[in-house]
Amino acid sequence: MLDVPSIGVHASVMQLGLNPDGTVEVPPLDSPDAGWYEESPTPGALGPAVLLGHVDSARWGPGVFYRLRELRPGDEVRVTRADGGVVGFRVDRVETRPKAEFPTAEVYGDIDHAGLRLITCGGSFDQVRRSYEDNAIVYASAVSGAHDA
Amino acid sequence: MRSRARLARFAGGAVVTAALLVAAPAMAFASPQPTPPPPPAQVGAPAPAPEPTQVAPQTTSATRAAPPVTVAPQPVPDTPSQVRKLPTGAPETGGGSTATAPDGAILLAGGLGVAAAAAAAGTVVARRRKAASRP
Repeated sequence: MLDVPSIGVHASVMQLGLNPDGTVEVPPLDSPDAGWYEESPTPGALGPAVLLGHVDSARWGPGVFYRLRELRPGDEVRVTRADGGVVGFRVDRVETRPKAEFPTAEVYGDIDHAGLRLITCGGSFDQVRRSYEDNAIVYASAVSGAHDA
Repeated sequence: MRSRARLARFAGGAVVTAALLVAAPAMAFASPQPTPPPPPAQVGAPAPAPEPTQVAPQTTSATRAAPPVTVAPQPVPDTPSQVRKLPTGAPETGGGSTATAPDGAILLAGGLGVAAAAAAAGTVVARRRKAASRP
């Protein structure tokens, strides 16, 4: 489960892999769940655990990460793992980056602590390409419940 | 007669000498000396340290340079990344329903819904009042 009290998120988390073209999978558009990229560390383990969620869908309106951009440094994020362990994170920073300049190294690169990345879409919506032009990215660090697995 | 006997004696001696010369090596091969058994191994005893190998210095020529030593590059240990497979591109996490209007549009839609509900309720109340006022 993913809990972000300050923006009212309380969602289940599904597992995500890679698409055939090498991009990361995302939850179905009509899903209220967030997704954990299963090739990233388990939340609480050393490294950047990556969670993705929709900002909205064409049919269902706001998505699970609709208010992600409202997060501020210091806000609390909690992840309950499948083993029952609860890991607490604090938001370090929130940024919006053009998709053409997605910061792959910053998001997926190795770090010296248990981190968390929350990713959704943002910015203007390109009606022709049916795609947002930006990504909103939240960087957080574990403050409780982390382990070195 | 005497010389014939002397010749016969000489010939006999030569035969004996030749026989002894032939038999001596044959006897050496026929009776090999048994090798002494190896000393019994001691379990747990430290193995004797090998003799240090001493390489004799090159004495060919003082001006002759030593051949260059080629050192094979040490393989860099392959440390796996924390993210095992790196995705390409940026994730597509939106369908666009909230993008064409500012964030307030959602609230506006909700507000319209509430207003419509209120209007409908008001209509019902008004109709009831109207009905109640009838004689």
